[in-house]
Amino acid sequence: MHSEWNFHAGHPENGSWPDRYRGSSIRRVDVFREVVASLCAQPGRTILTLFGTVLGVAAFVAVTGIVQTATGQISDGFSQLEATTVRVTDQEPKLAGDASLGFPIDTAERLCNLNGVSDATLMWVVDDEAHPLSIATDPYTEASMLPGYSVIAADNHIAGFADHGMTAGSALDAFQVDTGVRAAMLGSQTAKRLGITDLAVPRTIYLGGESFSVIGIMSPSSRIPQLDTSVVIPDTVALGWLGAPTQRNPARAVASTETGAASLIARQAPYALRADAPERALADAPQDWSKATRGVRKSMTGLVAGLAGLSLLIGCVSIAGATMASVTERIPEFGLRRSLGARTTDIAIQIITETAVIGIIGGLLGGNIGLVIIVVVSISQSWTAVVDPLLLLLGPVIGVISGVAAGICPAVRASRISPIGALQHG
Amino acid sequence: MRNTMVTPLIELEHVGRRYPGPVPTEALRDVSLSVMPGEFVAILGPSGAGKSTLLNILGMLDAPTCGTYRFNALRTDDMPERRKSQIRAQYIGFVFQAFHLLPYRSVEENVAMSGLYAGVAVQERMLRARRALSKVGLEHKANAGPLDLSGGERQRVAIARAICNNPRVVVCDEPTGNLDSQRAESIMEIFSNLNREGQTVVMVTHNEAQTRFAHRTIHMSDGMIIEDSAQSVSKGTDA
Repeated sequence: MHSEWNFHAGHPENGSWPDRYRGSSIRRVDVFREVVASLCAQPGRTILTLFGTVLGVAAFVAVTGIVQTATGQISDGFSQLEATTVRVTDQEPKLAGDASLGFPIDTAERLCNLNGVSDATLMWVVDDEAHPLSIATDPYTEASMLPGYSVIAADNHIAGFADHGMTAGSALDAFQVDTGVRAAMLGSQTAKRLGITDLAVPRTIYLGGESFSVIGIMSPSSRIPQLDTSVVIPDTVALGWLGAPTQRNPARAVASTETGAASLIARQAPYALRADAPERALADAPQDWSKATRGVRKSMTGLVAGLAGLSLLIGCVSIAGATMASVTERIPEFGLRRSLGARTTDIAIQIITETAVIGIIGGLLGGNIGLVIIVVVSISQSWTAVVDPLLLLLGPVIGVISGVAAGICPAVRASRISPIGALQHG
Repeated sequence: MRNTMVTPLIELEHVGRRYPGPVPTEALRDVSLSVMPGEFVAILGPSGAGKSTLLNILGMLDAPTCGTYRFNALRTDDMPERRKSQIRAQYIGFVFQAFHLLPYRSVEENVAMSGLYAGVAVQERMLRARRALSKVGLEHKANAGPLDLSGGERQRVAIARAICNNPRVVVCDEPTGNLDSQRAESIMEIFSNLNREGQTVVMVTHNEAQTRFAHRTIHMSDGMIIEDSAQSVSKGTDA
């Protein structure tokens, strides 16, 4: 009836203990069978245990992904515009009494001669305190100031620099600027405000009572957004008519550079424009966007690490709480298992495997929910979603770490349950 | 009659069990006992007599505080816990008053659990479970849930689980305590049949009528054996 006694050689059939965890008497595959059966036994409890982990990991993945996406948007902004724009301002306030333009009239040409500059222009905003200019389309009606609108004096390179087309007419040309023709370009908002929609019929506007022929209407510009609400007149006309730029609104040379050349151009521009007094030309070196994004990324990394820790904590607390309650419920079961030959390590391994499996499932679900949130937010903001593939792997990793960590306390408690007491419990 | 040349399966020598606490309790006092292979031993006694404590020690769920317990001639007092677990898994079957079936497992899976910690492969466990269920007449309920069974059927499932792994001894703690007399009788018939096939059974019971199924009856009181029918020796309670 009985097989031979074999207390000393391990398992009576195999003679050894392969395919088992160290110190365990149960096969690994059976551990997983038991875990799956236990988790499926009370699906409600399992789902509730999962909930905290899903929530924590979803929040972590969603916030991290949104931060990555937003950082990507910031980088794009820096690289496309700011990083390739150099502004040189006349330091008129430092040289009191100097009422000249501050820059040579061929500023744009000088800047364009620098290697790495693609476009440049010279411009200044007419000081509306020194020269309050009314804008009107009819010389006989009482003209009024248009609030929020400005008059900009510029050379003939401004339209090319602003990199926008004309919705009607044409841009200022070198002849008009050099000869001081009273011509004006209107920004799209200004034209709309003045009721000028096309130039099929020649139109005239009156600035401070002086007539200017409207030669073109500009489309909106991202490089110089201020142009939309401006009237642009030749700088030669402004100089002759209104005088040099004031201290309040000094002349400004703006150059568009190739990517990576801006810092060098910022150093060279003062000498190109004012070799006699380079200190008078202050060049704004563009912010190093790579440093800026590094800074953003560094602070975001801290945020992400904090979030990862928080989601680990949420997952741990959730799993540990539910598992502790479950261990109390299952005391008779553990007593039975001990009577069937389970060691304390077998009980502990089962509990920790249960919590680790819950953690992995929670991490996978949470990761996917987080991904959906990132996509939805990106679509609603018209962003391109940027998600590091590692982030999706991190969800289950966080889940399993929090699961194992959360399982330690309940596992120790379950393994310490006295089998006699546990069996009387039932 | 017992064959004295055969090594006793269970051998207790002057075993005592003391539970510490504010009021220490002597649950067992100087118990000496031998159980030979193939015996059916019934342990009788009132509540608090130490029957269950004795059974827990025999099943290695508990350890004596003094004396010696030998299982198949192996001393258990210096035996590591993992070895005791191994012996429980392979050589001892338990039947409890409260059945202790897992409600979320089928009858067959409950029975097959006995081989889980003995390292038996799942196919073999299922095969053994079917065989054990047929011995207790429940093979047709293999796929049912424990909650779908009557009390008597549940205890038969528990017996099937106890014998599934072909143990050396089945220890039973009040196996009919939760059953009516008719069902209790049928359970005792099963134990009797198993014993006739060579299975050693040690059973704790309150019911004197059930001792007729056993070869040997041990009466206990106040943690001591006061009568052992095999020895035909009656001891006084102050002995």
